[in-house]
Amino acid sequence: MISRPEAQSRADRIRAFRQELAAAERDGAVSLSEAQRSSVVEYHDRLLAELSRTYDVDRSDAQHHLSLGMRIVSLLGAGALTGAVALFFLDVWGALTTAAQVAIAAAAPLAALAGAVYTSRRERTRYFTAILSFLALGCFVLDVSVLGTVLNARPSSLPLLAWSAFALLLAYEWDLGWLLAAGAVGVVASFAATAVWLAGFPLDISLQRPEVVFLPAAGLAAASQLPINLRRAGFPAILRRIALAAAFIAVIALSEQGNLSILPVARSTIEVLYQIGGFALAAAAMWVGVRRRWPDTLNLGAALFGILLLMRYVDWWWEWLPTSLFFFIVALTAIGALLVLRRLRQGSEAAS
Amino acid sequence: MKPFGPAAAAALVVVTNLAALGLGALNREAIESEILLTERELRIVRSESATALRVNWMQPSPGALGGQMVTRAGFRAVRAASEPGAEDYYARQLPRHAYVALEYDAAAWAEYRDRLRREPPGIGLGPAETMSRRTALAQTLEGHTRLFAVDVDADAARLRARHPDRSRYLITAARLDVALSPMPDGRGRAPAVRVREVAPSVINVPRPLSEMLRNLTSDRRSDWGQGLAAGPRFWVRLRYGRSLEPWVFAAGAL
Repeated sequence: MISRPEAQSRADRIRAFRQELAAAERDGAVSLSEAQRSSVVEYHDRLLAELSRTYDVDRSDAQHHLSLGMRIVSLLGAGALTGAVALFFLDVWGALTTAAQVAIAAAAPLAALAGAVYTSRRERTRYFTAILSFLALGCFVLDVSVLGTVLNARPSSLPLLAWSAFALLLAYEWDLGWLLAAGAVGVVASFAATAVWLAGFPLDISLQRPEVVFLPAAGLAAASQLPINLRRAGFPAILRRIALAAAFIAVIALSEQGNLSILPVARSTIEVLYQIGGFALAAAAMWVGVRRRWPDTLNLGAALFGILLLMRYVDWWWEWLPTSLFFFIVALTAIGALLVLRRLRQGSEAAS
Repeated sequence: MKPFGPAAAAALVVVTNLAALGLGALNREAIESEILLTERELRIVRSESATALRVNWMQPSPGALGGQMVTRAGFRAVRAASEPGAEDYYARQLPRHAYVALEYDAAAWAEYRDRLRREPPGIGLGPAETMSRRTALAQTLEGHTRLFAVDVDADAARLRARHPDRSRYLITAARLDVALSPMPDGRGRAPAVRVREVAPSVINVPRPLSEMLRNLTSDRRSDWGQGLAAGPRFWVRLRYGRSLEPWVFAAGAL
């Protein structure tokens, strides 16, 4: 049994094979007999029909573009529907008794969840399942917020943990990448908030101490290589992106604002340490991205390197260099980086 | 195969709701404090359909919560105010979540009220301006909150032990920070705690009390009685439970 992304990949390979075979025949590189051609065509037609029937794969470029559009529209639809439900509830909630508020808020995510289960059994592409799952998560967020307001509860990091767990449960059930991303972000946020809360600080201080995200980010990066994620197309990349983005944003912030560090060291020392560490981290990410063939890791590492370098250029030269010369140096650096990346790419092709 | 994920997610929703309601019931099982306040201390907050009350409190002066309160709240205070770098030392300390004792209609309010009354009238004002200032002062005092932050601690039980009157002192969670502030006696500066916010600062009002309060406060007025009547229009009996989470127990017109 294969997954839908694997089925789509097979369909794409068949389409590419047919196009390349036609081009090779036109160039005279290959010539199939009638029996061979019809055998291959029949085999692929049978396979495509089976894949289409079982997994609803795209069989043409037009279908592929439509599918992409449907994914974007489903995400927009999910967000809009969730917003509509939340705003409607806020409009009417003052007219409800406390018992009605709590009952409706608790029932909403369960109803959306039931809808998602229903659609998951009837559609193969899971566009509507994704919309209803997103709505269920939004309703659960609203549910917990309503409870907190009704009970006049004190701030806590526990809701973040509950929301993350909810998102992850649905993400793994139906292979929903957006919910995985939401759950992963929630994991980082709840860890950071809990850490500062246990240390005696208000929850929002987690935004002022970026180092609290390093540990959960490392955990996400490690989790991306677990079998439960490796057998789901796209999941490892999503987790890596969230992990790296969280860590890189923290490094950038600390390289500029050393006073945000929890370390009892002078601000300037912190900034230098994180500047050097940031460049090393970026280089390591690019190296790993090339070695493991993870374009997301390579691109994020390159982006971090570029941002850190630009920030250093501004610190060193912006004040006293003519603006035109400053941007000329930036352009030269970009061209240099392009040459390095091209060499890395050639090396990667040779290795493969 | 039955879907495990949705079943677990549904169970999570149910457990979360039950846990929250259970903790809420546990909070209300024991009354930590019960206090009768008015509109002076609880300002109505309206949204499209909901009604809430914002706790209106005050700190007597920037340096009022100094001395031992600084370390009791969890801040470091090893540097004297006169030492070089002391300003930065205190400013760099992060805010903390701890507890504050709010005193109602007692010594702190009396001292603040007397201080306002003792303020000399402006130099060169004529009789009409002086009368206008006296009227404005009277209106200010009529509408002013009588809830003052008088003590802080990282331990709510210790705070309550120092202020055992549960009808006069509210103990509530708060967000605190520390800074060098002018001392109340005017002799230089010293590290002192500043209460930035109580938690929760806005208290939900359930039906039918919310309807009653909205009807009582349908006319618009400005704060501090400027140009309009400043006297409170309603009273509220507020309770704080075991977990220091409040609820509106009763309310009525004044």
